Amino acid sequence: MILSLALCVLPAASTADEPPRLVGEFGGRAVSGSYILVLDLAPRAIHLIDRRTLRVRTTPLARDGVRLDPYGIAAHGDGTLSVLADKGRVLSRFSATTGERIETRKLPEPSQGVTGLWNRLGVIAIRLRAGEPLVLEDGAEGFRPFSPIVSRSGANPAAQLIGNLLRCGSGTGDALPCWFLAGPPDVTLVHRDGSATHVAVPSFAPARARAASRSDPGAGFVYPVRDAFLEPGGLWILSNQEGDRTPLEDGAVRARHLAHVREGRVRRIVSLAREARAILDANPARLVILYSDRSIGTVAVR
Amino acid sequence: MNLPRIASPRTLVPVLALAAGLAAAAPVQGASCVQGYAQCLVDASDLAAWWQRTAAGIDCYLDAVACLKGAYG
Repeated sequence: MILSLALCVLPAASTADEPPRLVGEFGGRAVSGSYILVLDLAPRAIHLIDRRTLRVRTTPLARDGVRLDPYGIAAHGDGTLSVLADKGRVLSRFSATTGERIETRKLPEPSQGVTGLWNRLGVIAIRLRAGEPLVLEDGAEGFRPFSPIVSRSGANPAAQLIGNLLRCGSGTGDALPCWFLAGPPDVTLVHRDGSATHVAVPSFAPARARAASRSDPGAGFVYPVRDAFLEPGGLWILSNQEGDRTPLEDGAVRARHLAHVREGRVRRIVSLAREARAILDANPARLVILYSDRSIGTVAVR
Repeated sequence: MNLPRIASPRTLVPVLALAAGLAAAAPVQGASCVQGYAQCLVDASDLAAWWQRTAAGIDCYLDAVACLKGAYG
């Protein structure tokens, strides 16, 4: 198969008029050495972004007839990456440089996320019952629980489903931030040894959710966090719900603020001119942000 | 995970949807994922064989997870 490569350079900062739309359908990101890897599902490709220059190299991913899921990326140290496919049933491994599919594995149970756990692969399980491990690590004898994060109970099947949506963000050599999409503004830092610590983070959503209605069980929750990026200097949080309206309601405002938390204190709040989708990179000088309009821009932080 | 139990008996699936307050609710934009889930379960319960209902029920759940992660994430 002939694979084409495209090269482009990101602007140093986003512009309000016509930002370049580099990502079709965001599927996840991972940071690996000097590159940010962004999974694009439409068209399916991997964008390799140089962390220093922000030059982008786009590599189409091989087509195999199975739809990839926007459930994150696990970057391996050998230049390959794993993504979920077929509604979390399958794990596909690709070369990040050629886009070639190297391996397809059927998982023992469907998953809602995939992430790198340092030198191992981790998945986030789908749970119907409370008290079951949500983060699993891939080992020689199959998947086994990793971290004390377990599934939560719900008042009904819909609440159970919404209440157990879990994401993990970008971590450091010491810890990985994970959070429930629905619930209090709290991020769990999962450490290499599997232990966990909780970090309270700023929220722009109400402290308490409204009563869930029969027509919208999702309104019975608040959704404070959209993304988390841990760097040696602290934890960056991208807000999600802002104000009373949950993200799916008409007129909802979301993801307009970034917050920096260090040693349990909020050190900085940054306002964004438009809705953001993810934090692609963070260092003491700047953040690289993917916006919901599919453009990428930088935000100076000092 | 114990997904098959959500779709085993023909009657269980719509009962589950009703118990969750889903099937009888009027569709609104904010609840489209859950409404879709409920309708999917009801449709799954109409399938003839238990294994078809089971497979369809699992698909419904995974579709709902995908929809909700996309919506709220």
